[in-house]
Amino acid sequence: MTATANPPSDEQLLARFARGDDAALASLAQRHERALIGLAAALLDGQTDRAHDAVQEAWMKVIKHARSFRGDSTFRTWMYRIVINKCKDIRERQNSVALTDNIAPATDTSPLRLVSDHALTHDVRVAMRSLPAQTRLLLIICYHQGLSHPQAADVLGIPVGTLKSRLAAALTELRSLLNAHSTDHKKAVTP
Amino acid sequence: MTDHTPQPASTDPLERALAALSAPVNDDANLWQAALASRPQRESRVTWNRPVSLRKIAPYAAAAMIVLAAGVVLLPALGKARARMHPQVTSSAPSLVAESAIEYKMRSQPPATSGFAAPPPAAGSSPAPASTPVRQVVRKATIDLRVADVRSGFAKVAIIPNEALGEFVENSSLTGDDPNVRGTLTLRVVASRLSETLNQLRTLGAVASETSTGQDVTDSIVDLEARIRNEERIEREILALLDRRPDAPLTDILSVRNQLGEVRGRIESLKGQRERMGQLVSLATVVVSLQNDDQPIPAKAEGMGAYFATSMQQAWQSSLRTLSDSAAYLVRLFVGGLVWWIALALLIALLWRIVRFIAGKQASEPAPHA
Repeated sequence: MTATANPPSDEQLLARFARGDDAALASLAQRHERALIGLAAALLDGQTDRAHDAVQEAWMKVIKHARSFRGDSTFRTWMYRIVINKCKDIRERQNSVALTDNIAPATDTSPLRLVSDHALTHDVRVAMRSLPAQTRLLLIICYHQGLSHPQAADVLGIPVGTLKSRLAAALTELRSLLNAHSTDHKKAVTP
Repeated sequence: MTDHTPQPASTDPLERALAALSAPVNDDANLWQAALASRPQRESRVTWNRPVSLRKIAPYAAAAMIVLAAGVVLLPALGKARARMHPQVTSSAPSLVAESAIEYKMRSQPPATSGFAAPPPAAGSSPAPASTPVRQVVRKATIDLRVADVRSGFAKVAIIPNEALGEFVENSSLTGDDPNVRGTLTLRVVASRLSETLNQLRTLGAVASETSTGQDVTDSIVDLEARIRNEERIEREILALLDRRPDAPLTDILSVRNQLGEVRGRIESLKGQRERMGQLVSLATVVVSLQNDDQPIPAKAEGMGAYFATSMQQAWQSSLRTLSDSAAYLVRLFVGGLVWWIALALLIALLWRIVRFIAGKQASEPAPHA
């Protein structure tokens, strides 16, 4: 019988960390930290320093509650929820959020498309500020890299069907906002 | 291991822009190391939560157990003491037993639309009903009232039955001319409400006479049940006979069928009697007789002032009676059931602590803000 060399799951790593293995936390961070910072930056309108704060506080919470994690949800879902909560706390603490252009570059694109996408991303970020917080969160989570719709629904705590219907409505709303405010990219955003 | 299935790269520029918003960053911030460094001194790995929760719950559980034990021990003793204090109650034990049985029966059954309680248990459902017979009593009361206004009293009596409980006025009559008019009503009320109904009637006027009777029909019902069971057994035997002999001569088959019809007729008749008996048991009969008061009517003789004074006096007495009844009811409710109120309060407190304990445990895994 040959032993399989599957990497340990997130939950197994968390359990190892709860038993005192700090290297397990490093493995978890290696898997998720960059994505979490990207998500936090999106939720905080591109403020990467605030995003770092949010993710660091989230890690602190994970460290504190690692032993009480019961596995009702996956570690990934749990961590995303913590980051979302931290971002929300930070947004509430801020009176106004400054808009920055600290946008992560799109991958696998031609230079021309890169420039076009960069401008569109900027407009999208501006337009999303006009959306309700729940709608903004929904759009960010649904298009966050690596999250499937069921996982996004799990993070948001809503059924997948509800997520899809809300997503369609949110996209329609966002397109109308972009069409209203950005004539430069009208053709680009019209499906 | 993660179980996600990343969504394929979209060709829609808007979707690409949305994905770019939260794209992973390229810098290695190593925030986890900062979080780990800011961690307070590691707590003891061994925590023993269960005894703590048990310590919190144990006093409540112990108190609840004591109260329940006290209730179990004291309540029968109180009942015996009360029986010793009121020997006449003990002497009329059969009727009380019957009434409590009827009350229990009425409580355990939803109010039937026909107003009648179901007949005693069917033969098939209770194979040995005679071993623990429930006393079945047909109760009847007669009350003769003297009222100032027979027509008004007649109307008041007619609305006493609660139709929602299946009660009704079986018959009523109003005969004679003023002032010698007489009213007679026969009420059918739920047996458990007989005393309450009589109390209501007594408030309508002066009671000239009142009688109450109870007829134990338990034996009759048991006998009916036995006869029904016997006839049903005969029916089954005849049917089995017909099944076994399908090739019998036609005359024989017709003869057996005639017998089967007779048996079924008897079964229906017996079941009808049983149902009627059940109705009589479940609904008590109250015959109310109304006559004018012999004294002259003050309102007519002395004018509106005297009539008003009399009405006010009656209203005052009625209100005092109602007040005393209410007070007695409240005392019965709160003092009589004090043990159970305490037990209920402790139980609620215990449940509340458990819920808070569980909620506290769940709070350790945060959910996203609404």
